Amino acid sequence: MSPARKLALLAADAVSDGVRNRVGLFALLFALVVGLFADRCTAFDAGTVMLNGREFDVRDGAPLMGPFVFGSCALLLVLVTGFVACDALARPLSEGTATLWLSRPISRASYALSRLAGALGLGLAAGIAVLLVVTVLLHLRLGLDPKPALAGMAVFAVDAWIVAAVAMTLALHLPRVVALGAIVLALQMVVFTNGLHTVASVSGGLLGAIEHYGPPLGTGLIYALAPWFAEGVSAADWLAVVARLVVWGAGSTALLAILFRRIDLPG
Amino acid sequence: MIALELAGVSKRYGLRRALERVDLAIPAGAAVGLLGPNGAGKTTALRLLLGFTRPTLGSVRLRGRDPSDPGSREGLGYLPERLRLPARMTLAAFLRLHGGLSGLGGSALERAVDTTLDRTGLREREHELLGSLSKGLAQRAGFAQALLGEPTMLFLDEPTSGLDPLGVRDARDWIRAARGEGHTLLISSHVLTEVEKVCDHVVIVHEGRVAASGTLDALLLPGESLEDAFVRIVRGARKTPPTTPGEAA
Repeated sequence: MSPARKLALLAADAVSDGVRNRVGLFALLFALVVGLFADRCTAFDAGTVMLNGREFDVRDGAPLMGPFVFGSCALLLVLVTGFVACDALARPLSEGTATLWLSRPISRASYALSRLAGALGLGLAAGIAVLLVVTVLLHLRLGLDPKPALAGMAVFAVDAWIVAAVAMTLALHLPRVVALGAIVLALQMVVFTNGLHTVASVSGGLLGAIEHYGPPLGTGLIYALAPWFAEGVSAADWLAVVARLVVWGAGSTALLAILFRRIDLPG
Repeated sequence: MIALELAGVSKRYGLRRALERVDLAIPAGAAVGLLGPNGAGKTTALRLLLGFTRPTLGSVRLRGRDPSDPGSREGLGYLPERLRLPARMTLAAFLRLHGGLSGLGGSALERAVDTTLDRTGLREREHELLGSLSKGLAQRAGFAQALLGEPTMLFLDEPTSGLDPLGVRDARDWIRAARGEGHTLLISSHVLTEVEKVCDHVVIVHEGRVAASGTLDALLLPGESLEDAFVRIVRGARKTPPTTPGEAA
């Protein structure tokens, strides 16, 4: 049997494992809450708002409300994938079930990658389903073009890949709660920095380093959804962000495989 | 042909010494009992051979390969001491996945699963969740995955743990059958009477070192049981010059 076939078997088991365990249920419930959040944020009819003495039609806010709702949902769903990933490899190791699989002729890298694929399978399935609903809501209620949302879903998938690989790697060395806390904090910092950079130049210090060398998790979403609220982004800028995202995805996955090869299996 | 080899292997966990300059070579087809008091380093030796941990010093070879090479574990069955089964998986799905990872597929996989279920007396439990099995049945399920697909090498860590007397007898039969087929067996156990019944070589590990090793005939004094010999060697009442099972054979 080829290594690819074994990888597919293990990945399918990782998905089933996530569904069988409470973490999968939690992910689905959280995704549902995110969907409800999107529903509440877009559930308004035509009306007016007085702001500084001026009257605004609430539907005029759609170009900003759309990216806010879609972006918030996407980032929350990225966190769901990170949460599933924190558990996907660390739990079978701590429970001791991983050693049984690893006594078979499969490599550590294959096992780690299969668990990553399983976590991503769950996270992406829930995430894309919710984001599709959000896209339909934004189109029907706010009249927004669905095409930027499709690009946003692609960026969400890559963001989820990066966060899942980093979360899984952290959970190998840290308690799962601490790993998840670190992921939440890091994601907030990256997205805050990316968002800040769209209105002001961020070049020095920690924020500058994050903006220039970190994974452009927020920038990718901003670029994808830009047609809703600004002029389109140039192809060169898009390409640079996509390239950085892919490099971060591949790098974090490689790091996971390398570090998992080096650890002593518990038990 | 040497099936398993530890050459000058030391393993430390922080400041704790688990194994110290262990040399051991086990020929293919040998049935070896790995004995020692609690914390002697038996499980560490098995974990090194399986590639679960790496030696601090020395080299480990499984069928002439580094244990980190997945190919070294082709045809290997392993039953861990602290058996943890995926609780929410059915027995049949568990065995099918193990068979698939061992390279079996299609009708060969189904045949292997059927044969193993019948052989281990678990046919009626195949659709039950592993988490619902009693300790004894879970141990049988562990045996079933280890025996699946006729492995040529078996590593069994405390194989009779949790089994009732009938289960112990069955386990002995399965081990003897594997031995009869010329497979390499490495059994770590505290149940010396069982080891005596199924193994032809023993290795006694004490405080991380090989205190004695060789065939049963070479290690036992006239009229002495394995338990007597074990106590004698571990307490240092009489030093037995260490030899490898390969040399003794």
